[in-house]
Amino acid sequence: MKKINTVLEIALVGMSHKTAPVEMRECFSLHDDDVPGFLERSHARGVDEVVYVSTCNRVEIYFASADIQKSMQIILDELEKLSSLRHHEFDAVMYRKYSRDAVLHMLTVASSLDSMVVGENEIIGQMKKAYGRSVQKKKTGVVLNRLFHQAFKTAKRIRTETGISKNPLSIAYIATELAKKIFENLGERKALLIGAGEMGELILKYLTKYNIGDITIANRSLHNAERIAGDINRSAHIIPLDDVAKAARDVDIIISSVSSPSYVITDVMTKELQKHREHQPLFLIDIAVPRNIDPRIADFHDIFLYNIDDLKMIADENLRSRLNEVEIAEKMIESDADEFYQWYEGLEVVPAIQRIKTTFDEIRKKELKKYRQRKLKHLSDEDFKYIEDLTAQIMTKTLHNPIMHLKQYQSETSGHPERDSIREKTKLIVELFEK
Amino acid sequence: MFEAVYGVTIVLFACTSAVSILALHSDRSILAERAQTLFYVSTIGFVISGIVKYYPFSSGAFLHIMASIWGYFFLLAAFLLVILMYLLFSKWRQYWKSIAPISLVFVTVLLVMSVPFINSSRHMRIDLISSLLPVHVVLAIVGELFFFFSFVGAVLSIVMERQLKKKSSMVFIYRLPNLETIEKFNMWATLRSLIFLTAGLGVGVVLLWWSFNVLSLFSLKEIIIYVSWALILVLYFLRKRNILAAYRINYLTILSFVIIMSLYVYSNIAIQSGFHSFK
Repeated sequence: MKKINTVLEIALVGMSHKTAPVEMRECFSLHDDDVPGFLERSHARGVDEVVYVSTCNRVEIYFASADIQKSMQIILDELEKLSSLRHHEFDAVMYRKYSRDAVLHMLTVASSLDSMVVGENEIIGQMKKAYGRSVQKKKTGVVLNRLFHQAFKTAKRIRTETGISKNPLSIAYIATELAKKIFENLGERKALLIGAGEMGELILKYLTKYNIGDITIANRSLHNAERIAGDINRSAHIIPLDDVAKAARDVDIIISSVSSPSYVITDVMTKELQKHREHQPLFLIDIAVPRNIDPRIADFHDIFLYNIDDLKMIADENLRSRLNEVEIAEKMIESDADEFYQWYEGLEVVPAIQRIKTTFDEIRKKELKKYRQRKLKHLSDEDFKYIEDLTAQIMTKTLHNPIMHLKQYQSETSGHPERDSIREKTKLIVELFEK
Repeated sequence: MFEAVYGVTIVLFACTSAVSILALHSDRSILAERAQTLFYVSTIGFVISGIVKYYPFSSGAFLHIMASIWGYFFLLAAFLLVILMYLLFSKWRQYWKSIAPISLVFVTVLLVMSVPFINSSRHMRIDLISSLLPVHVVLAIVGELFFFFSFVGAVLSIVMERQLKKKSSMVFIYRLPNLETIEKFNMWATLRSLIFLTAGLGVGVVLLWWSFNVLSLFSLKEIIIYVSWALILVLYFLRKRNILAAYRINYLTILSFVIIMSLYVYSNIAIQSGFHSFK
């Protein structure tokens, strides 16, 4: 008789920035070349499906197995070998989760709710890479395939339906996003960087990513200005600091981060600039301390001035608004986990259905064979094929209702106390047909 | 039957307005999708109301509709919905979420305002029977409605500028189009308003010349529409030449719209004598 699969249980073991310091996490972080070996060994020792996820914030192993406790031990043994640490040395920082807890955890991680920066986008790419590696090595199956796809789907849903990833948190990125909310096309805009400060350079780098038009860099040391142009890989007009007033007339974005005892851009200078600009908006970013741009300019219309504190305050506000979205995201995770779990619990009746179908089909084929050799010898192959099809159809139709009832009963009792009872009954069906 | 369908349509538009405001406020894409679906459903309700009210259609149905005071409101709302539908499939579609709340509230207000006139016997006496008359009416209405979208853009621009100046979280900033796009939308709407209104006025003048051998009868409604046209022309040139700062033009646009709209409503509802009025 053909071997019928049993349902695999789901579990995970791992550590994250919340439970373990980086010195501990790095002991379990495998080089890309070592991951296939780890997957291979775990699988060979009896772990049916396994995925190894490693990021700078976490190391987690998701697995599915018919004997989950044994598999957990296998994974822990393998981790012990890899890290050269004894089990008791890392046991306290390692978390183990089973069944629905494991599913919830995976969806939470994929949606970046468990990340150091809530709402970051990198985790999903890292999880896809980890999953892809296991798929390539054929170390995933029905359960983990479905679970990972569910995690990717949930992460996408949370990203699009909540504001968890919408508001940037880094100062340079915020400055760029603000520029994009003032100007339609940064490619048609010109930027002026005053000074060679690190943050100014970073903002310019971000603007370059959005193909900012002309770039001018003003600095005391022209050599440093040229270095920045080289770093961002763009041609730029290099000018001395004294020429800022003239250069500012033609630009739309000014980033200032030069060390200066007095304002580099004064209100008088700005009024003069406005005459030339014909009410075109001007975006000023002052990240210098002491400030380079007269703060009174912020009151001028068509001028948008942000200093480092303004940007920091926006970053804090953005973080708060991201955290406000966490509750909504958690509800989505709960509902998606339920959806997955409903499918997963449905797998419990699969062996029973398979067993019933196989048993009936084997009887059918055996009887047909017997009749073909004796009473139906006179039939042509074509006619006999009709009888074969007919019996197959009768069998399918006869089994249709009981199978449908079994599936329905299973889905209706999902999460109910009667669940154990149907589990027992399913087991009994399998045993009955096995005997 | 008609009253029931129209009542349901008004309720649907009120719900659509509420959902579209909520969609902008909460920034939930699911709500934005629901607002769009509700917009389609409400528009279908609106079309059914028109069919129920005017079926069977006669050959001069359009003139009949525009000559009644309720029908005039109905036409205003109908063309507003056509432009809104157009925006949904035009290059402005990604900003529909920001444009829709004010527009849908305005549609709802128009429909509610029309309710007392459902069975009104007040009619505009049509002294000029010409095939150009519907063209004149449509062009003038569409011109005025494009000015409404210029008003919407002006509101959005002022809100966006304030948000950018406020330097608080980016939550609201992300929900609106960027400042430059809003200004382009304002220019786009103002230019169309000017073109349609000029054409509408031109056709009106031709009709008057044919029928009465005069260029204008200087009725209050005519004067109001000339004033609207002049205001829109001034606003267009202010924008085109960047003579004033964008925020000043936006405030002027809002003020102009409020004045024009008040005069428009007053001239259509309160004035019951003279040329062009509902008697």
